[in-house]
Amino acid sequence: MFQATGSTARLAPGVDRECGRTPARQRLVGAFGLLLACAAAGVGAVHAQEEFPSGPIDIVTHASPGGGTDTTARTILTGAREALGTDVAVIPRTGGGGIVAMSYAAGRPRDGHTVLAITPTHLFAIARGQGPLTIEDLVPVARATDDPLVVTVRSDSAVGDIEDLVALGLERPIKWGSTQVGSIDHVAGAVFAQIAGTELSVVPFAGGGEIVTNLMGGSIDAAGLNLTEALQQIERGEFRALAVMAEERIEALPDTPTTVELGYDVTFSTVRGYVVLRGTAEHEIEILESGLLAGMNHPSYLAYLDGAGLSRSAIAGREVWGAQLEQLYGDARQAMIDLGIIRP
Amino acid sequence: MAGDSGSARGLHPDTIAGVALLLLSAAGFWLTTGFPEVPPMLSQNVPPTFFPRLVLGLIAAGGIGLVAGGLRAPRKTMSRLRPLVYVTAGLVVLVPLSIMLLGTLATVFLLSLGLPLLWNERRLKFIVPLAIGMPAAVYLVFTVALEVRFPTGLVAALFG
Amino acid sequence: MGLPGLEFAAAVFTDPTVIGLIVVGTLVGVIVGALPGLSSSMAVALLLPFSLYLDPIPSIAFLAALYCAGTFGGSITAILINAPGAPPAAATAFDGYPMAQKGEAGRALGTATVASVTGGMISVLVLLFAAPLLARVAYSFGPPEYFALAVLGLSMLATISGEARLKNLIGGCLGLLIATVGIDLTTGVDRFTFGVPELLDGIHFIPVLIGLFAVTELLTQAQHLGRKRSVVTLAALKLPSLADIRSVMGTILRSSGIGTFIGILPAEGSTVAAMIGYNEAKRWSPRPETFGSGAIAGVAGPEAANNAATGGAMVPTLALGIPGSATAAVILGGLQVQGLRPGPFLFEEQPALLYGIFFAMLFANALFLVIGLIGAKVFSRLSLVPPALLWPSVLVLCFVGAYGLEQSMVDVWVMIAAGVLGLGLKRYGFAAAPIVMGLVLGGLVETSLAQSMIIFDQQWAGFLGRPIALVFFVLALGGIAGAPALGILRRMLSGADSKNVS
Repeated sequence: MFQATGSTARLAPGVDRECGRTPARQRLVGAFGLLLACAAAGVGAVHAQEEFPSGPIDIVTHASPGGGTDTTARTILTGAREALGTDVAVIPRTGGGGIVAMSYAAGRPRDGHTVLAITPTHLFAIARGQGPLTIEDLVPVARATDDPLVVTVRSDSAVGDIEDLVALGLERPIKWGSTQVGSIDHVAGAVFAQIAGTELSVVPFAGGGEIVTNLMGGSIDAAGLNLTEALQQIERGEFRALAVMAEERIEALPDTPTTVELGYDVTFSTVRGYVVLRGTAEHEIEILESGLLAGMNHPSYLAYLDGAGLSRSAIAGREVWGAQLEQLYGDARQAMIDLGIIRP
Repeated sequence: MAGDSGSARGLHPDTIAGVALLLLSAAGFWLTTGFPEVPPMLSQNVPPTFFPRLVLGLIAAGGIGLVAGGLRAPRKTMSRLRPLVYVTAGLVVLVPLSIMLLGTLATVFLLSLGLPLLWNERRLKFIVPLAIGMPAAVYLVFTVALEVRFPTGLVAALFG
Repeated sequence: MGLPGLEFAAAVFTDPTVIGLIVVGTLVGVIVGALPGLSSSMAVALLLPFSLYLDPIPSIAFLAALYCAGTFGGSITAILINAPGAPPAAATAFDGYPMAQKGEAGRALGTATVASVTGGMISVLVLLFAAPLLARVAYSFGPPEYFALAVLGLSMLATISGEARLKNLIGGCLGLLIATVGIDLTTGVDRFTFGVPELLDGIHFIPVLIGLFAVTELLTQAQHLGRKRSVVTLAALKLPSLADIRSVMGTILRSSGIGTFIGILPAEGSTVAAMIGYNEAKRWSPRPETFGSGAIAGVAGPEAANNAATGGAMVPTLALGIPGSATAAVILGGLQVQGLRPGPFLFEEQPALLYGIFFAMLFANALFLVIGLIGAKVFSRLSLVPPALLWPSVLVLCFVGAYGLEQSMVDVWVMIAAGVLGLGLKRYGFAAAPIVMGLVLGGLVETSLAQSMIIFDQQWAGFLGRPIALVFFVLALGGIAGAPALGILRRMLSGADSKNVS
């Protein structure tokens, strides 16, 4: 009746079907006292035959609420719910550079009702051999954003450009704000420091919002913030963008040079996509792909991308995302080897 | 369980508690020696063992303080726990096992029926509505309205 | 001086849909808040999708009302059955439940209501007048300041007078130790997890809380069952008198300030605000020894603070786009999905929406003054139910709440372990309050200390260059050294005939 094993039909869909189309309304109806009617209907629908999705779908994220990964997932929900005809919820499992989220997802039945949000941070953890999953366990579903890292300082900082930052780093360790240990902005800072030959001392925080406040407050020198996290402050003149960690300049910051054009071959971008774990049935992946893509092409998600300064071209299905996932994993492994964390 | 050492007669409760705390910090310290190594690049000069060991040290110091105080203090005996407490605690431990075996709603029913009876409540006009009302309320509020999915248990899985 | 944005108030108070939604949001919030294991952040997240079908103002007003009411609701179960419905209400149980046991449930609930409403209103007024300005305060709070704040919170453990002091300190350390379970933020190493993946993100707060308070109390009730109960009569339904309220007004105002301030800080929310609100209520009390056994100020202090923190948390959320609490983060998501970008621009571009939110929060607060005072009479009847019927129901609620949080059996076992250990600790004279305090502040203490040491290049002297941190350290020291000094002073003043002050 409730979920006990992967194959057992869940209760919620029956309730959905009987008590109104959208689960959100159903939930409110439920809360307002038509509970009995719903219950009766639910009991009758228990043995309804399985179809996909047969219950709410959970998107497991590794980021605390309010961060880029969390907001991306929550914004996709609106359209995805409509397209999939079931409830979709964000389940944050923070900590450990994605290991907690991956462990949680690994413990869920592989029936398509658990979708895992993947960022390069997860790939670093996998490359380090941490957590229960290997790269082969990840089956691509869809890609949502491509959010490049921007090397950022406070606008009244003495550091005017990337050369100043390198000079500072030769003098004393740069205090570099980063989310969690082994996350993308941590590795990006470490790779940059290695190429530039500078010292780096990484100050880990729980999320991007905390890095922003600490960069404003002056506790740290610089950070590799996601464009979404830094754009507002950059536009307001509170932060200075020294370089975008990419090959080509981006639309949102046309005047900011890239690390590659400045002569540092460091490119890092928080690519956020969704996967299910190996073992999920093919037709379920297909339905999920179209459902998530519908969520991403929903006006509210497109408005979010535009507002955050992100390119719409990041929205892609599983073929494009799968190819990139493989490439990103190769890059992640290489970065870990370069930094001497793993052996080739 | 620390609650049942009234048998260690002659020792002040504080002495017993202090010894238990010393054992706890020793065990905790032993566990910290098994923490994984941090790769040098990820190491931030504050090792993961630093804070737990600091706290364990404080607990150990507190334990010594309690032992010392307890040995000097006049004798004091603790009231014995009634058997009902042990039975109730045992029942509480059985609940998750029952949830996994019989399922949540059946367990809630049994618990709402059994615990009042165990606690010497004999007025069936109260107990029966409670035993029926609790599972119904849990089902309606948590399962239907809030979509919490409870385990159904092995028995239900057999017939499901 | 008029309220700013008053012209937008009409949009809130003349629209029956908005009024209706605020009423519903408040009611749902109180209920959800009161049920252990269901927090206001969960409720807001659950109802966020529904709110998307509404226009921005009603939708955000609905979520904001739910947020305010959810924080208040937790105090009801904390007082009546010693099972805090939400983490911010943990400190309310310290004195609220002893009051209910003494047959003063109505008085405790009424005080909690008045304190909550006052705290909530004050913080919304602060938000109304000074949000963009105050939001900058968040920037001057780095890791060293958070560390100092946490130390100030913990310093209270040492100020409790008498022989219990050592045990309180040990209890606080036990809480700190529990907080180290899971993956260490600064090194990524997992600690004390014993290979259980559910423990990687730490031992959850709610199951420990339910276990330590409610399950321990259940077992204690088993010990005392059948013993003649202190006569609990209909007097239990009596609301606090005006004199009661007047006596705690200073505490309420102080805690409202503390709560608003801590709410503004992005990294901390209602739970820490309530702990510090409780500590300060005790520190300033003329009779701190009554705390823990049913002091009315011990209910007013944390309740004013945790509700004030809700308004405070909206300050950085709306003015900076940086969420001030987990629930505020979900509301932030709601704003973004509505196509709005929070930040200083919001105040210029969307005054109608912004002031709509403010007035909705004010209205919600006014509403649960009514709900709370009527409810206090109704709910406090629970304390008249015979234990043999009440506690089995509470136990069911405990299991459902602990499981419902993450739908994980590990949480249920954690709750049971906390309950059984809690009984042992209680028998040996260890109070639950210090353990909870250590648990709440543990993560903050360790993380902010490690971050500070990296920022200061491992030099402790770095703290000397942080004036705000120094102020907190001095306050903490004053608290530790000051309480005994005050005690001596008081003893000298009160003369030789009061022998047993402790």
